[in-house]
Amino acid sequence: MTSFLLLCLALGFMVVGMPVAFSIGIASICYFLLPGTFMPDSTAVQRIIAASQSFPLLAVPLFILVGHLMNGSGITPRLLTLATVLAGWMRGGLAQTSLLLSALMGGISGSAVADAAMQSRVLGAPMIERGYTRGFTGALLSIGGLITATIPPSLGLILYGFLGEVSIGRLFIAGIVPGVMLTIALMLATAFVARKRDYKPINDRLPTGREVLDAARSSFWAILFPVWLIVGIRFGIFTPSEAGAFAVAYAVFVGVVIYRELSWKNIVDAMLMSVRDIGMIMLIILFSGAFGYVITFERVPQTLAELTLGLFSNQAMLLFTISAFLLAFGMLVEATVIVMLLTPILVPVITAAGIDPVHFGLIMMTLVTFGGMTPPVGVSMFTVCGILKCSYKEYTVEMIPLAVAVLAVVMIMILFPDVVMFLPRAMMG
Amino acid sequence: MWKIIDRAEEIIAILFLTGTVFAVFFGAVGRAVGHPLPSGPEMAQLLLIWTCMFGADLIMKRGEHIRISALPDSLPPGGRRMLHLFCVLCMIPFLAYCGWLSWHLAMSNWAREIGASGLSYGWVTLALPVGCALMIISLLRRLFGHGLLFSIEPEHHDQEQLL
Repeated sequence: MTSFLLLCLALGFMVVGMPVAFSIGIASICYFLLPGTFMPDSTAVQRIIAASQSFPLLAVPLFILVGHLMNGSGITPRLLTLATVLAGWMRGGLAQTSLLLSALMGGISGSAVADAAMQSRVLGAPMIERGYTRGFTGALLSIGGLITATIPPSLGLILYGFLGEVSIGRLFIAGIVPGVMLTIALMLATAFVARKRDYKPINDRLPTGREVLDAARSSFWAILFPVWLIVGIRFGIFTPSEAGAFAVAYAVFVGVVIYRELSWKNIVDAMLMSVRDIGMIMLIILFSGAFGYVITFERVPQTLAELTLGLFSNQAMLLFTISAFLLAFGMLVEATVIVMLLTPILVPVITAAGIDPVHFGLIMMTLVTFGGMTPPVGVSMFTVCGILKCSYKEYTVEMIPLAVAVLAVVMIMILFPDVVMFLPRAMMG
Repeated sequence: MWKIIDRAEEIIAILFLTGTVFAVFFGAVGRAVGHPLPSGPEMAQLLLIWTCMFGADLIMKRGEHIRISALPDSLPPGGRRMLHLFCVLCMIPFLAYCGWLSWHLAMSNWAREIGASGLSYGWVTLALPVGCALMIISLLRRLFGHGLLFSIEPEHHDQEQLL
């Protein structure tokens, strides 16, 4: 009961516009200040500090830094060339190129919003020039970011793994197939729209093998990155956090020595932007330390698990219900916040129902990240529409076929758990 | 004057982050070549909390901490001012209380050593009171420099967020 009031208090603070980190922090300190609580107040700050003293958590700041460094290292334009060669001949060539670019970027970046913003700046204007409507351009570039967020490395999955105590390596490997499925589903939806509206290809013929080879060679170092990341984690050469540090070294090496586009100033800029992002996201994680402690102390997950197990006998039904809730919640609240608040509560419930937390993690992250691309509140939507100057209404209408494609993929993931799970099982046992 | 301090803070934050990367990197390399450095991960975690606190303060200075602004945005400026006043009035005592509690914790933690490196755990704990103090200063500076309306909100809405 107390913990329910606590959750309401935190949400109440958020609604009046208090920064999320502080909403959570103040709500949890209120618990310790209650006369009925026998824990000393200093436990709250102890938990806040203890939240930072975790080695797996180091993956979060390190992969944030990798993303910023890769952006300055000259990898993006090379991947764009490759995507254009591979997809430019299709109907709606530029749109298909952008989806393929999202998939390629997925291997080096883990952030949907960063990908959507980058693509809107690079591909937004050319698409509108070629007669794509602003709404469709915005919806496509924004939802394409979902592919980037699913293909490893993925910041969302690192956070989920850290908070739910789920293997980040398994989550990464499990993200590969859903990422590819999202790419295919979105490309099919785009092909459908392009046929109806007669969006033209940008290349008049299929690429020759030689062109593909040339383009692939120039972006070789970027494509290699996710491969050695997965291989390294799979064979225990490094943990995900150590992979983050190696990835930083790799990005600097490729940017400075091979592509020679990463200047000293770029590195400092990337680090400054990373420090800010880290401060923003980590403050929420730290202040949630006290909150998570209260939730566990009050046995919320156990109570909730008993409650749901009584209600649902069928795993798929349980997943569908939670997914519907996550989708609705995700449309209203920022993804980071949902992951932070709900992962520690939902993972025990799911595990008690016999569902693999890796399977659930992919479903949950896809839905809440997608929530950031939908109205009424969506960071991706705001960012892309801001850059492209398209109205939210037009965006919403045009995103419908793409949203159907995303939800279809989620449906397949729920109904056929093996689609998600066979790769991590085969690779990691 | 403030400019120099702000720039210095940015540089310190970047140095903390660089240190974190190096600590993890050399810890991993050391293990791979058969000379494990048990203090590597400990240093990394110590530097991480300092990076977080300085980063959080840099963001506070820019008024960019993630928040849900749907309700305040739908209000006229007067109403928004009231909500922001309420938030600031909650945030400053919270930071002060956290800072005070953790300062005492840090003082009592000096004797405790963190594992292999022999450093005092007080260095880890100390990050929180320092961070809280910095954030109180930044919040007050924003309050007086930008007014109540932009105390916890940036003037321009073009920041990007993660995930």
